Amino acid sequence: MAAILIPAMIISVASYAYAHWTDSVYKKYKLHAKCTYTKIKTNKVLTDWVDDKYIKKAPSDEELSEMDGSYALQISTNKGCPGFDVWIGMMLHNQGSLPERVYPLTFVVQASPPNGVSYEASNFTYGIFSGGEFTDYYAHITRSNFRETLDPDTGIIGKTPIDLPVIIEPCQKIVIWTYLKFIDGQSKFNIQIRIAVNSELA
Amino acid sequence: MKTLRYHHRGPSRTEGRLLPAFLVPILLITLSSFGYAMYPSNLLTTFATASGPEDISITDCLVISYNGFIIPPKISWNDTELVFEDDLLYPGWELKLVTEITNIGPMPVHIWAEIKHWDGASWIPINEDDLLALFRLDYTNGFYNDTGPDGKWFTDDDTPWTGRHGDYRLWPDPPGNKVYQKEHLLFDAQDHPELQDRVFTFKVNVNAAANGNNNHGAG
Repeated sequence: MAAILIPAMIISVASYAYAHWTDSVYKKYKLHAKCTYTKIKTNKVLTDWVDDKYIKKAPSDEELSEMDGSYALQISTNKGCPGFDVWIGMMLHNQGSLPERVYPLTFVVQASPPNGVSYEASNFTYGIFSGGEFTDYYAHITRSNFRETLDPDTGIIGKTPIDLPVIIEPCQKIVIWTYLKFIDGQSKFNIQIRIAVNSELA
Repeated sequence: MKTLRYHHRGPSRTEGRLLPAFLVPILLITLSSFGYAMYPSNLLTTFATASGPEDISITDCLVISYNGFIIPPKISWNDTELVFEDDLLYPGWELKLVTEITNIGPMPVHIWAEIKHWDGASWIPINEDDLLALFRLDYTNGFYNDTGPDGKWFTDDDTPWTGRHGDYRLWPDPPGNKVYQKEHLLFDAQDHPELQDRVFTFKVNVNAAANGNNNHGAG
């Protein structure tokens, strides 16, 4: 009986030991994805040619989705005419976790019908703001005072614009004022302005 | 004169009960323990404290390329584990890493790599395709012998590892007792904002066994 039992026990133990006859080392990676996300935090359209109700803005998620995510803001009106001018103010906010380099915005201006419509445009950028100092450059400029505050040739009167691109850190902001003036065209036409933010990881 | 007689004596009543009482459990233990031995998933769970003849060790680690924001890269390692952490991943983030693994045991071993990710409760096996699909992590790895003639890793002339005799075994004595695992991680998440603020944890096991898996994980 011992001749049977002893080999049987050895085999049992050996086979369990075999189970443990492997060795490993391992490498563990713990990675946290952050984001680069600069967007138009807020915007305003200032003109005295038409009432606000004739200015349509499309910043909703659904409408942005319809624009394929390519543009951050769409402004339109059916009250365009020669001489129509408008100031578009935008505050860009780095809501991501990493610094971003912000390039000049991309504007696509379309008139319908397009016959003979021409326009001029200029952009002025201010910043970089880390706190509430942007109010003088944005919040305090309203429909009631923009003609006295904004100059089509120099931007905000008494303020010095900066050049793009600029690098803005997380939570920092810049303010951009764009002036558009339609010079020629039919007596009445539709205007659609699409604006895209161009930024990348700095 | 006495004559010695030998009588055949049958098992006593007690012995007759003892024999099956011992034999049956032993046979069961034998079978079950071999079965246990053949279960690869169970094998993997035991490696951390294993001290059998198979013995591999991390003996060096080189960050070849890293474009993240944590300077220097947050990496620590000892002979059994390497931990890399980065909490500022961004689209385009990239890491190239080479780990030297040495057989410090007495016998040649097969080695192979496997990937697992932490799902919050346990480690789940995952492959490279799923790492890319789920986390946009483009991950490749492979075992190499050396840098090739140019002396630089991650170039076309890096020499793939085949083992001393082309048998994909890591030997306990030089030459052929070291292998280099190249790993390339690229966070390809440019159009995947849904991954923002997500934490991914995964690990790459390098296993060694005398009669191991022949999938050498060259990627």
